Amino acid sequence: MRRFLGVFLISMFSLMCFNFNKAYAGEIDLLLQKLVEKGVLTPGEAQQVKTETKEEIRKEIVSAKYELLPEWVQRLKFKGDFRMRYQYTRQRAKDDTNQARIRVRLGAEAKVNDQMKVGLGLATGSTSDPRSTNVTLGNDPTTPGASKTVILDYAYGSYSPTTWLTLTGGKFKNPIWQPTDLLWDTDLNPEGLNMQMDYRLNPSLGLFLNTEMFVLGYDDAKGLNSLMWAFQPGIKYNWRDKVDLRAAVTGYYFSNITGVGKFAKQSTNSLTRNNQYKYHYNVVNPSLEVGIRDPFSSIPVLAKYIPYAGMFSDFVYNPDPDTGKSGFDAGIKFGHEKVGDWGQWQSRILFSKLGRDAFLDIFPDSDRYNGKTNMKSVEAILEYGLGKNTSLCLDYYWAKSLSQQTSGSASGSYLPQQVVQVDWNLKW
Amino acid sequence: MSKFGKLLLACFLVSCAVTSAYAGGPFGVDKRRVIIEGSTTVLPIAQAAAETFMRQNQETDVTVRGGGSGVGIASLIDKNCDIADSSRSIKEAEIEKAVGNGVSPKAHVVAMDGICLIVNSSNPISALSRKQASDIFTGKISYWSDLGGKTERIVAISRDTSSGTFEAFGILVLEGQKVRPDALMQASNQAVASTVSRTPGAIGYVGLGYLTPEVKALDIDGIKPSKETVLSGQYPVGRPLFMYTNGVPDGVVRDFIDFIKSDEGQKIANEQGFVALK
Repeated sequence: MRRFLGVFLISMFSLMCFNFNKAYAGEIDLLLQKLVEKGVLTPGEAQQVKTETKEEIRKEIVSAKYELLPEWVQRLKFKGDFRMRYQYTRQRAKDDTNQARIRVRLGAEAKVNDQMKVGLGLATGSTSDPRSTNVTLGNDPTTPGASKTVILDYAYGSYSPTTWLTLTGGKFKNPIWQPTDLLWDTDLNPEGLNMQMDYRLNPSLGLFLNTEMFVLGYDDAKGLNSLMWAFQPGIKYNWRDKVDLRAAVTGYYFSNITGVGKFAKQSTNSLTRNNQYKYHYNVVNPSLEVGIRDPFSSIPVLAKYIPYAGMFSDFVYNPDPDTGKSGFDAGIKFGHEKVGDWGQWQSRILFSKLGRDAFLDIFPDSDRYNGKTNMKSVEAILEYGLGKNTSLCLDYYWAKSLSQQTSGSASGSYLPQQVVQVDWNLKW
Repeated sequence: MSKFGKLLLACFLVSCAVTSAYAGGPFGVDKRRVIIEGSTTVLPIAQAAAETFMRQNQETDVTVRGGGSGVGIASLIDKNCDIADSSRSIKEAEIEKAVGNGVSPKAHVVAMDGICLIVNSSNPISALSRKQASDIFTGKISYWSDLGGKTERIVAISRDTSSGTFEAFGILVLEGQKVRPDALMQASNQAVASTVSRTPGAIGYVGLGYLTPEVKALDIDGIKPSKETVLSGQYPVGRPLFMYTNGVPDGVVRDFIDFIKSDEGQKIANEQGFVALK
């Protein structure tokens, strides 16, 4: 009873302290000390009451500050990043190029109500290339210092009736999970509808399901909509916080691709004599990623410098064409799990091969062999943290065609290409 | 719609049904289930308490997972767990995010963590300042003679990087600096104590519950490491360990929090090498 009375007194006193003057926090310590001296509370209980009371007061103060903000500020979240890039490109039968490029992205997300959000993103780039948000400095020799274009990168509305289900419509960051950019350039934002289900069966095991409709284009002459449907069931598994595993199988179905005019950025997919797509691209794409924390815990020197290692892989298979029907990307990464602060680092090495008609050639990573299919490549990346939210990244690509080129000035060659990119990344 | 399209649609509908059925989400929630996530430091207390609690309450299912304090608090904010374990106080940005998401994080102190510096019993040094301890473990001081001891090289013994004690020592003593590269990393508190007891020039750190008569515990900033000094907040290398809930808990979550704060729960915390509150 005495103990209950003590805790009650402290609670009432701390409430008064919060309401009238936060400086009274020291008075709580004195009161607790007295209660310990009189044997009402044990030192442990006093410590517990003191810490919990301080935490409660801190929460009330922060909550009060937050609630004092205008409602529209509470509803908004901003994020963005800036990247400065030096790029050297060497390709057989072409002049070497040296480019300085920048990328700026600014995003905002507004909470409409507890279940709905609206997102908006602006970025540098051009409307003609959805796979790049870079702009090249000095790209217009007739107008030194020319201003750069900012485009609408994404704009969407989302509805989450439960914590595990989200429906999104508009132009949005691609929710289809991909451990590599074999099939999808990360700058490409689909337009259409997406439904994401992400449910944790227990803290170790979760299931997810992405269903997407991407409106690719509309052929006025034939009155046809070209659509992409994607369906991706997958699992996420965590084993004792040491191992993270994620696996999924994605099925893609494209409607009205064959028999319709090719897309503007088509480069390597097979075409008919009428310049129309020859094959369907209804493909299957299994993906896997495994990450291990402290993989070298038994070797102290390695454990200190390599706290994380992982492997990842993508495979794609298109049953329609006779040749060039498959592709893969497999790689390893090691170093820190994320590079977010000074001294943190991560290295990745990837091997890729993508058949001519394994997937639509308007989607893959534009930095790897200009985003073409019918290629194989090696990529090595080293990223080093320069401070909080800033890093330096060195990216090297070597790639070449899988079959000889049959047109252009370098007819008969495999046209190997090497690209070196040095990036300075800043996020906020 | 082609056969392939119909197949995709069928797969989608089947997956929705299977996911929903297994998840239990829209078709009923298990009222006796508790999901705990967060700090690897608090993990042993939560795991041991969960085992005993489930033995005593057969109808309950308590799932415990680590991931780190930040992960646990993020999970509580996203309403993915019932209890977030944390070896640190919730940050202001996390409170703001929680409030914005309709979550009111309520702190429960479940134990105290006290870390003791230990040396070989033959070592004449009996006290260090926190600065001196930091200088030893970051490699700025390498000989005991620099601290008024023998002309003997210091052998630093540390916990491995995945341990919560390593994390706590890094925050409370090293203040974010890295442990010297030649430190010998050990996988357990017992291994640290055992190595220090066998190595004359060794210094290591262990949880208060792992002190043995074979090693000598050092005073830090003039304060002896003991249950009393940790609980009173005098000992400088001590910190509270938290479990956060969304508001004042009720139902089985309240039962579990009450259990861990009870004499029996505190006995479990003590057995795991932490300073019990009772």
